[in-house]
Amino acid sequence: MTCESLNQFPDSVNFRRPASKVMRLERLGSAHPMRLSFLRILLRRVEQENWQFKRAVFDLDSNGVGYAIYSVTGPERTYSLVCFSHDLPADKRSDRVIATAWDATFTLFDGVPDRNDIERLEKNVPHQEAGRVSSRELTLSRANRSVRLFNDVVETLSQGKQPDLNALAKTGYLMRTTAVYGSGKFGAADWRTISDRPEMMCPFQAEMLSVWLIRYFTIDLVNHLAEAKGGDSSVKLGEAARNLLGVGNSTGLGMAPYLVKHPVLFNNLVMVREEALARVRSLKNASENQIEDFSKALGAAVENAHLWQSEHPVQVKKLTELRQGLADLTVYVNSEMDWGAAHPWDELWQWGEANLQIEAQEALLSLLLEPHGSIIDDLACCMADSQTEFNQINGGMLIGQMIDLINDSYPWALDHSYKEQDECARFWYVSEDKLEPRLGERHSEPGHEQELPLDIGRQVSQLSEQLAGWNNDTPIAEFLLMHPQFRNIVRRLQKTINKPFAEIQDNLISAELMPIDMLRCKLAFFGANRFDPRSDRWVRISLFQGLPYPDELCEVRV
Amino acid sequence: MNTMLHNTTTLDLSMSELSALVLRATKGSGFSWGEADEAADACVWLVQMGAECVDPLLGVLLDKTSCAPDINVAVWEGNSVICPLRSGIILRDFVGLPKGLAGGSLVIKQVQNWYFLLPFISNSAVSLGQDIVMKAGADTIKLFADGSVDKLPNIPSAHAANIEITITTKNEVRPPKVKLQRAKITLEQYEAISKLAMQMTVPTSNISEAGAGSSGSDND
Repeated sequence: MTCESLNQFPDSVNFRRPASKVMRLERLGSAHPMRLSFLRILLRRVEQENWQFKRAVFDLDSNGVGYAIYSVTGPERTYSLVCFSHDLPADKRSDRVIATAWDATFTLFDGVPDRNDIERLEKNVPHQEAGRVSSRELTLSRANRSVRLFNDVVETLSQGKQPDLNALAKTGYLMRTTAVYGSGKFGAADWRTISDRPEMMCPFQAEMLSVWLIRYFTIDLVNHLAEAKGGDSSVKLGEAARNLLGVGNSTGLGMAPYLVKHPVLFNNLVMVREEALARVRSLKNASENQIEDFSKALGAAVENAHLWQSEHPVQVKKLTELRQGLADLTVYVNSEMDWGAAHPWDELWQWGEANLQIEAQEALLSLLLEPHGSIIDDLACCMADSQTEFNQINGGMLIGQMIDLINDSYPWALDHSYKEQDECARFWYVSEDKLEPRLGERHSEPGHEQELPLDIGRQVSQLSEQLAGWNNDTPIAEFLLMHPQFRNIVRRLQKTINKPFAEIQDNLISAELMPIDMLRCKLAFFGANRFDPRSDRWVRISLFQGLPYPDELCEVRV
Repeated sequence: MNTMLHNTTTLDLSMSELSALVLRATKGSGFSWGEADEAADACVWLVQMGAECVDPLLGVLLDKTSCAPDINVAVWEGNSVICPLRSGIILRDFVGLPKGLAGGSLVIKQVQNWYFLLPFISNSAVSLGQDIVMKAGADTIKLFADGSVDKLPNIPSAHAANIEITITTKNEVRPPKVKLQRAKITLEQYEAISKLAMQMTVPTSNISEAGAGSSGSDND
């Protein structure tokens, strides 16, 4: 479908940021969650459609071993999170993809599982990658308990006391997922087979639903263990404590190539966000309610930045910039901002671009979207990549047209000297042991012959060099007949015509590459916050922190 | 290798699993990434049409004798038998060009594992907006402009056949057929294709293994 018919803001075109600015990795790696993030889209739908929630089964022993089922029902369908809870020895607990056991494992079932389904799932889900699920399952995931928090919270609740809120706020979660697989992985249903359902049309809705229900399970689990331990003396986790907790997530390199491998989806995600910003900037006035909502969101962002902890030097610097930027923004909004200006939101945005560091500029973007749901929430339907056709190359395209395409849309790719050691220092590959993406050092490690084609800039540059020797009026099919190794990049160039936000406009094999920037960009679209890098390619985050639980947003059924 | 798979003799793969597996196996067999993408699309098409895809694919990937055709002559042919993946890709690239199907018909001589040509000819029909009739030895197959196919023959033995491709007028609109969304393959097929896929992987070095995760403790 085209989104053009939905656009009631034709002036927004004058307020759009150029892709050359938006798609630099440093800026993408400073992205913040926003109201068009996937988990916010899910929660809005659940609330608007008045979904129902039911704890269908909770069969755990006093050690927390057993299974539970949580179901949510929308207008047409029910989805059930099936949870298997284990008693994992501490020395077996690892967040790495090489782990083989977890504190809890989960699958999101399409419907309500019967006894046979549970028996089948019980044999497979706890094994994760080593098991198989079926087309009845939409996701497969697992989680580990927080060593810092989980046992302490159980102990405290068992003694009839509420845990220290500061400690809860600092960690932010009782359990963290280490993988949430969806869309066809390990035998699950392909997204294409459910993408015609309104509630699954936007990207990653099944994954977000899984994590949302996992969050509820983590609270249920600590309450259960506390009661098993303390009996009548125990108390349940209070509302203030619950609100401070999300679901943690550890994410490594496996997620990084996703944005490169799905250029059309990536374009759609960024384009929607940028169009939303442009719509807000194009508004000719600001209502009192909007200003009030913006101020509330700013206050929450200041508080979040205060609670956000990281020891990674890159993030420490970013957090300093963010806190200072939000403080400056607060002063400006409260004392200098002219809300009566011709385009007040644009004026505020332009002030931010002139006075804030990138980290705070991108936070301002999220804040500007917050009070404007009525004019931007409809854009969520434009995020998915609905293309299902064969990946056909247009062989009739002339070489001159291809050269023009490169020069017009990929000038950034021609700005690097990829033969220099630092400009081709890395290579992406698939690891033999876990079949996971890895990043190797080209000049000191073997394996670059099996390089994954994620070096988009270098491929475009090499294609450009090769095409220079050909006649402009020759069809590209003739060139590909001689050089089939360029099929991949030629197809990509054709696929991304009129998709300005399809590419990360940086060298992804450079010695300077920070993979965590790619991770953060994608995770911000999920709706993650509290980014805490643990290395240059491994980050911890929190999901759903501060947002409503299923029993708060849904009608609860017994 | 997925350890739980040893407990079963058949596997029910999602289309994205099939596509990823074929992509890696094709690349692992020495084809380019672009060609591997198209092999994956071809396998998905075959499964959607209710056909077997793994044996034809393995035939293509394990065959070291076939080549791309010379298309600068009226009849496409080569110095040895013709590879269906490479000739299929070329056919599609040139579908609207004089060297391709612009003249209305084409003959490709001695195509090995010709069954694997079908997805590419189907896609050519879609691209042209016209139905195509394909003759391969004694078999005649109609591939329609809407992407459907009349009736697929049994998979032939791997020996080569001359292929005649002719554009016909577009038929009446047919009711859409349900495309299959899962691939049933045997464990033996899975292991054969996985073996090829492993050829594009790289042993993880200690440096890389350490760098893939957190530099500190996993636990918090």
